[in-house]
Amino acid sequence: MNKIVYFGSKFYDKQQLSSYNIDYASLNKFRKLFNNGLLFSSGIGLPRLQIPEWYDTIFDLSVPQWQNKSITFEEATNNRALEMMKYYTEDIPILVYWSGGIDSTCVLSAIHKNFNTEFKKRIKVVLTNQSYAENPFFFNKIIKPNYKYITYGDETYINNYVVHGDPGDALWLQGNVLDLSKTRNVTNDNISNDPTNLYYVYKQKGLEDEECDWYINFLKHDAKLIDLELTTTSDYLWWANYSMHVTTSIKSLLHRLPTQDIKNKNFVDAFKNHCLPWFIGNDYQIWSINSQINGKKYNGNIRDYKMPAKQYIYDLDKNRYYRDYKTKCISITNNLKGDLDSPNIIIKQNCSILHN
Amino acid sequence: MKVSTTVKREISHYFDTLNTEEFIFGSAVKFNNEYCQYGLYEGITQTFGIVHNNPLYLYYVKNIFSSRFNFELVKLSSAWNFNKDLIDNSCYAEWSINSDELSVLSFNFNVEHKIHNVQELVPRTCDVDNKLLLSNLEYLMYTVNIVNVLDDLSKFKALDNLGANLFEHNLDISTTDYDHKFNDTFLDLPIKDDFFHTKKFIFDILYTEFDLNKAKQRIQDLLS
Repeated sequence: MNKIVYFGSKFYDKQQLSSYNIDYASLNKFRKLFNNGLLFSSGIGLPRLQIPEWYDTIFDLSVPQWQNKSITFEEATNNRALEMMKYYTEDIPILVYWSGGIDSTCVLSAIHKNFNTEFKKRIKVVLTNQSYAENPFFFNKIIKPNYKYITYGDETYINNYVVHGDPGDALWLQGNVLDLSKTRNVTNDNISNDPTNLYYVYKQKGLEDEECDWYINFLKHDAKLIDLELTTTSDYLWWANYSMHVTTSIKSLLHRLPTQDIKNKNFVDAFKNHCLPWFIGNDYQIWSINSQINGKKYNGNIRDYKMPAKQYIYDLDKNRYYRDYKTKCISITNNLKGDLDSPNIIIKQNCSILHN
Repeated sequence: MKVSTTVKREISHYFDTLNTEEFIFGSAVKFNNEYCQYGLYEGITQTFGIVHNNPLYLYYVKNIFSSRFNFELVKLSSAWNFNKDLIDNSCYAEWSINSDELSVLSFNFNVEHKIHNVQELVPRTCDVDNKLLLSNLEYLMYTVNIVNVLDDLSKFKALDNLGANLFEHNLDISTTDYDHKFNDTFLDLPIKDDFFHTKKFIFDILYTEFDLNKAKQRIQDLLS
């Protein structure tokens, strides 16, 4: 039996739904799937996928019951590292996909701080020129002297554990407050007190009034399932994104699977056993939800973008530039057209570095 | 990194004409503080990191510093209130851009390398600590110096874009050091190769070394 994977974060785009032959009646299916903690592809421009039954049973991706539990990002990250060590039972390499961005650098920092020597010996950092260009300081100070590293290559989840920075972004979502503030003259203060903002946002996405009502009620109902009450506009916007992103987190893993592998039990078993997302974990989710509720996630300055994670990294590498100036950005090698004399390196499979 | 003796000699020769000491310690290029039409804008602290009159040099600097700051290359002279006495590298940090433009430049998603035309220069009011940015002015100016010198040297040696004929015409230094095969493609000429790589290594030092004094020392070591 196959399940249909819908376009989670874009599902309310009427035109897109239509282009993928999904009608609004199908949203009832979506609702059912979502309540069961299953997953949705949020990719844009990807075809609707038919996936096998096993897909919904790989990981528990549901959002945990809300708890008023005091936990810091640092504690959640250290706890996750210790959990992951217990998960890596087979004596095979652990591939850490490092982009140079905040999430995957945070993962490597957690590994460096918490893993014991034997586990560290099994680490292979998978990186590219772009990774290096985005964070050369971390590469030179932490990765190069301590770990094996390879460029993105043939090695996969078959004979390795695989870990990366997904779904890190989900933890930090703010609920489109920034987007809204660009198009409407609103601030974090008045956004909370003006529920018509919600309708404005969703109508921008193509929903009619009654569909907005349906969707808002859906979100409210869904949050109640974990004992969470949505009160402000930003709460709704955040929850809509957060719940979707958490449940769609496996999408990026799925992309690593060649189509034929999905039908192969050995590959599927390897995938299930070797690819546990780092940022899926109750502590992280509780931290994220509570940080949303207490407003500590974002105080209005871009410097604070993912600051707890940047601080966690800073505690290890002491790079003030990365802590104070790193934001979501397009890294240098994305910018290059090949005609600039910018630094460019090739990291070979044998870990040597060629300056190109 | 090995730099060929020939390349070292040629770079040193060129530096000598400029005064090597000045080059290494960062004052070879006279900053034209009278007319800084362009700047690198930093969105978190909402001010500029450096201003200069050559956008190409700033573009290089933006990339060389991209793992440290998210700079946007902006044109200052497009602001309605711009005049040549308004802003230079002694007062750039007191200035910002109109708040209507801030959201455009808040996150560095500009992948098309468009130069943002500033509409209005306004006094900076943002209270986010910008000491780290300010402390980099000397390094930024030093990098502009190096880009400037290497750019000039490239033109002189016709190493980047000029045709083989011009290359041949200009190849009046140490010609005998090279086993020229004029039928070779321009790309295959050894002088280009060596110089090109030297340039890469200098940029690589600037890219990875966050301490200016150490960067200067490494470049000196490379060329000595």
